[in-house]
Amino acid sequence: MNTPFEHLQSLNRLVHEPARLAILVALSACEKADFIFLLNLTGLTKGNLSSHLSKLEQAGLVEIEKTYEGRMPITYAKLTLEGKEALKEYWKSVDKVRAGIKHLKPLRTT
Amino acid sequence: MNETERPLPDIALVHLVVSHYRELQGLRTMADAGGMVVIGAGLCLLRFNVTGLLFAVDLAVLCAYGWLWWKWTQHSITAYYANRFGRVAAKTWGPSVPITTVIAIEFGQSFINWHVGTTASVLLFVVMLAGRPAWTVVRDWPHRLHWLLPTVAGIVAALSFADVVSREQAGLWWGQFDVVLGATLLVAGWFDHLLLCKTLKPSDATAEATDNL
Repeated sequence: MNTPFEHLQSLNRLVHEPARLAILVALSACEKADFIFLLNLTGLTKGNLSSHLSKLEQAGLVEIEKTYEGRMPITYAKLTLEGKEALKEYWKSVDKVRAGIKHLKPLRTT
Repeated sequence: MNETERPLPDIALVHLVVSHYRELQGLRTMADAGGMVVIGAGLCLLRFNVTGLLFAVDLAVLCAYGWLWWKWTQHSITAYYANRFGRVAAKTWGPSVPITTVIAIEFGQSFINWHVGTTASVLLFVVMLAGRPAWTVVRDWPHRLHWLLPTVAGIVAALSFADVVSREQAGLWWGQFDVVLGATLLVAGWFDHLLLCKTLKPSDATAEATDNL
């Protein structure tokens, strides 16, 4: 049986990063969301959000769709099947870590 | 522009805001609830036999409200939220609470004709009027506690239906609680809007951002 620390090490680092996790959680709750929405939701800067989305897109977890509404360009991000699976696996791993540390007793300090 | 970042929001709140983005667009709820208040006021005036200028004014307001709602309000609210906070394609969405409440109240009038019985009518009304607001409180705990207000109003409306024995009384009850429930939904809608504003606080970067990938 793996220890909690082994489970921690097995967490997908790409998903584990807080900003990317927020993006993935957001996208898992909808069909797709646009760049402005994700910017407002995460509070990241444009550059950082672009960088995180690019990493997620390169890993195949997110799909980027560029479209126009009238003359306004809109960039939508959408979770891929692979992304959904990665997020599901991530939560399973977190649950295993949580279950593992339940058995650990805190150190007594005097 | 000096770009700044704020701390990431709570993951549960992220999930709530994204999955119920349309529902949290409080101005939409308020626009629908405003219609309920106008309809209710008109019904009350009619039941109290106020048929003069006041009723004509209410009828004119109702017509103008309906026309504006259909032609302008819905599109403007959609555009407002899209431009201010961004666009989300939801997995599912249904009619707003004010609309389902109006349908429930109107449908419930038939309980008198069907001789459903007082206890059954009250219980059905509790489910129809207070069910969805109560579910909103439970589901989105603790972020949407303000939905307790329409929940309580819905329960009071349902309980007071126990005193309704005739169609005339039912009409007055309908009008009164359209106003009361509409008012509580106006408040709930406003707090939903504030929740959205608080969670989707535009960062300094948003003002310039359009297409950045």
